[in-house]
Amino acid sequence: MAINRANAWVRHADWAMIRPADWGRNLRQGWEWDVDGFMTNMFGHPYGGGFYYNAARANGLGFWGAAPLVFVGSGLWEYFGETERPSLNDLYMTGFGGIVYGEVGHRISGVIRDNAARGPVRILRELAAFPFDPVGGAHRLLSGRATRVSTDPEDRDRTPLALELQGGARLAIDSGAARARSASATFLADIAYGDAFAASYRQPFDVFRVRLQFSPRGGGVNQVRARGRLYGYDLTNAAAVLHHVFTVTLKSEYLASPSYKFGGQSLEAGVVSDLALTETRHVQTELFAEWLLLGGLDAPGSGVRERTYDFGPGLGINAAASLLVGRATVVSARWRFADVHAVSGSRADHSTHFLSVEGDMHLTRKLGLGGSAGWYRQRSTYGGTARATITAPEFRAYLTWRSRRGPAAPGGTPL
Amino acid sequence: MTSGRFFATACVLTLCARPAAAQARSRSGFWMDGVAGWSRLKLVCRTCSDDVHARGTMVTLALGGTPARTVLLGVEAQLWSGSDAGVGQRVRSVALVAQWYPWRSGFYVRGGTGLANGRVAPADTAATHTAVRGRGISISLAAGYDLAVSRQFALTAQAASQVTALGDLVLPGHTADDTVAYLTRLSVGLTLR
Repeated sequence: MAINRANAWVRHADWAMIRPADWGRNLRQGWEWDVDGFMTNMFGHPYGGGFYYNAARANGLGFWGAAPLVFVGSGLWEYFGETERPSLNDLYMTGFGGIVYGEVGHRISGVIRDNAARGPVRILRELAAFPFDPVGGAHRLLSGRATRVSTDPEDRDRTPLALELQGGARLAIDSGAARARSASATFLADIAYGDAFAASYRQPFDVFRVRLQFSPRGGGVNQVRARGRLYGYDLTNAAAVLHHVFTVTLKSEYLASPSYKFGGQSLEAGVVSDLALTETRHVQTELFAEWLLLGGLDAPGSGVRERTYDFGPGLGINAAASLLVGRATVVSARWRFADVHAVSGSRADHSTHFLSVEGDMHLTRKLGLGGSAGWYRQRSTYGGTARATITAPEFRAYLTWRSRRGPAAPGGTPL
Repeated sequence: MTSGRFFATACVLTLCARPAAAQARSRSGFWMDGVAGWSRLKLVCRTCSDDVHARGTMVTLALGGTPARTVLLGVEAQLWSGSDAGVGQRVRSVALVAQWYPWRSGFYVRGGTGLANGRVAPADTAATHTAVRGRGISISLAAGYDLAVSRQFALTAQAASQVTALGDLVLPGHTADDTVAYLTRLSVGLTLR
């Protein structure tokens, strides 16, 4: 309600000037597919959905208690918070994406906040945690928890964590006959929380990964991917040389390059494996069947007013392998395939492939030098006959800085 | 008694039953339920001249596991079939569902999403009586009540609403863009757990 009123009274936004008559019309007319921008729909709504989730978490609910409330919050907003008709794609993106970003934000903020800290350190930690969990941060401020000093050593999340920051150059080659090239600076952050092989499954999102990529003159935010483990079951003994874990994940992703856009919310089920070559050298693999609950991807001439992308569900495969030395990933490769059937936009079927290889040479314990090559291919069939293909290679060279916490700090394959 | 009245009466009787028996039942492990009932279809699309309404029957079968005492997870298959002006139509879906018992009684809320397909007749085909195929996604919300009749069995009443997006449907002469089928149902059945 506060967001609606702020937009109505301060920004005078038309969509926020809602009256009871609009509620009735929204209820009568039902759902539609909206025409908002790709970033708004595929990243803005999932991130905003995290607010509903974290409001529930801040009030003491667990994962399964908070998850349905994201859909309740999103549904109420769609029917009663905007003059526009409720949007089906918003319900999916806000709902499923909100669970992912909400739980990830909840846990990262739990790592950053330290209830035993005092003075400027305490203030800095509270401020640093705020973007990850703004609703939880506001709740702590109002309830006094933001300043209350705790003596309980358990009052902080001490899950193993790895953070890797990369800064360097990126070359993206556009699809089409001209093959236009765009070079830019690029920055990337990888967060790995929890280790799938160090301990058995305890609760949803006890293991997750996040990847953010930003290129100031190369399209801004290029990549936001977050994937958390919903369920895990050890198929072999954890101490075995070859350790398999059946895993179910929930994933939210947003990819935007000069050549293509892709995003969506997915459920994956498959097996992750760890092969101990020596005490310090491991090979980790993953093989998932992917159900793209609802995705969005570039489709020029989509046909829905100004929108140039389609919405649709999809099925696919996600496979990856990596070599780890001393729990740090040295080289990794990932292949992903997803077939998407459009339910809004053009009458089309899209077949997509993602292929990437990354290598990292460790110069010191914390610093390294790396490079990556990626390739995206989208083959679309419009109206059953007309075909169009997008191919978009991308290369990066970068310096890395990494930090790890915990004896079994996670490695594994980047998203 | 019409089928609509029969199902409405059955739902009311089930919902009015005492909840004590339901409380005695424990929720754990495997569960399965099957319900059938009266259902209504509303078909809309972005380029259609009018909405289409049709009545029919819907059969739902669900099964799964119990990760927490108040939460069930499972898979649900649904089939709706009916007709409008003599044109047979159907909508099928398979979905992942989560079911939550907010109180100690047998009342529950179920939500899910999945894949769907259908053979439906949007408004502009009424003159030619043509049903066409589409496939897409479904999202559903249901409220229900379990009335335990033994430790393992319960009578179940359910009211549900499902939104099924079937995409662009190709009709003779034009396309029905962004077709969405709304299904509303009242069902009764049996639960095993």
